[in-house]
Amino acid sequence: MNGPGSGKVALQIIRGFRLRFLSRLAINFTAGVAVLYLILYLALARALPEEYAGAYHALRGLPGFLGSIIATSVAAYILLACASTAALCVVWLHKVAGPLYRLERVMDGFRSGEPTRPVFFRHGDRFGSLPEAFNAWIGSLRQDRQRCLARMDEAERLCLQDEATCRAEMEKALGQVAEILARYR
Amino acid sequence: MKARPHPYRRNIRYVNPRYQGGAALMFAAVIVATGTAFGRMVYLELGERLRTFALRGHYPVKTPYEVVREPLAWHIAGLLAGVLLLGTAAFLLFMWATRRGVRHVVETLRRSAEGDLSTPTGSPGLKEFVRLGKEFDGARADLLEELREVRSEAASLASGGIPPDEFHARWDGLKQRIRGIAP
Repeated sequence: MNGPGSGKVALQIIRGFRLRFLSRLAINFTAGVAVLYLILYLALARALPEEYAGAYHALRGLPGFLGSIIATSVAAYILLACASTAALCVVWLHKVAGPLYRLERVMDGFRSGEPTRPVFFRHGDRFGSLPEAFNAWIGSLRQDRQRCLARMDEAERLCLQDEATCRAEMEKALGQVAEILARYR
Repeated sequence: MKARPHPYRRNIRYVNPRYQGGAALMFAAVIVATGTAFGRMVYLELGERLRTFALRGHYPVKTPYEVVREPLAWHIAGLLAGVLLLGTAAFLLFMWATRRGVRHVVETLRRSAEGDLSTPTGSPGLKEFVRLGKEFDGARADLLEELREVRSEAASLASGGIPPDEFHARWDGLKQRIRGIAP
């Protein structure tokens, strides 16, 4: 399952994830900017008085209010864009954060001596190479453990013969156990 | 007929404040920075334009919006382009850092499968991967210590010269310890 085909598929999935996330991010930002523009438009599109003096005073007075109008529109943009982007991060990055969280929990269990089950990510989760590598590591450990135990069991079976043969076989098995474990450094 | 919920439905939760919250903060910084820059530039330019226009004797417009429409449109376009570009750059940087962190952890796991339990993970970048790397390194260090002790005990027993009773007791103890590896 680790051939070049699966690598291409993984790359396509990652690209697809990026594009979908970026398109939603663009929608959030555009919505925020649209709200900002709408507030500015509504504030500035009020009709000027017909008479000259009224229009003059309205135009002269407007820069005094412009700061609060712009501040309101920018605050609305920041609030809307930040809230929707935070929600996007929680929902979409869960596909990355979830697997990391699960792997951390498995590692906690491993350190505390609990039986370690193979890790499988859910459909749609990112970085499928993580559980593969973790399961391969645990698999290799268990393989070595089984080899050691099998060699020791085999030596015990020979204990049905005389004591000297039993002891010699056991010492030979122990030497092989030490040899199997010697690769760990 | 009422549809039953799917038993394996994804349960979306805020599981990782450092990761999900960190990304949200990064985008918030982009949004606040672009909004602040926009506000400052628009305030200066539109204010000046309105003041200059008010000093004219003739007002061929019905609303103040018509006075500032063109520069406002340019600033809005600039804000949108800026926030999209910076947001995209921030996201790509974040994903690159994530992939880099995952690659380091995967390489560590592959090395571990080949027997290397001592080389540190050394995950760079995002704190989440630094933490995960330390978690792995701790587990690998514990395991290596256990394997060394088992190996040393096996070598000690294999060297001979141990009375039979003690030998069998230690043999059973060793088997029990080996059973405890990756249970």
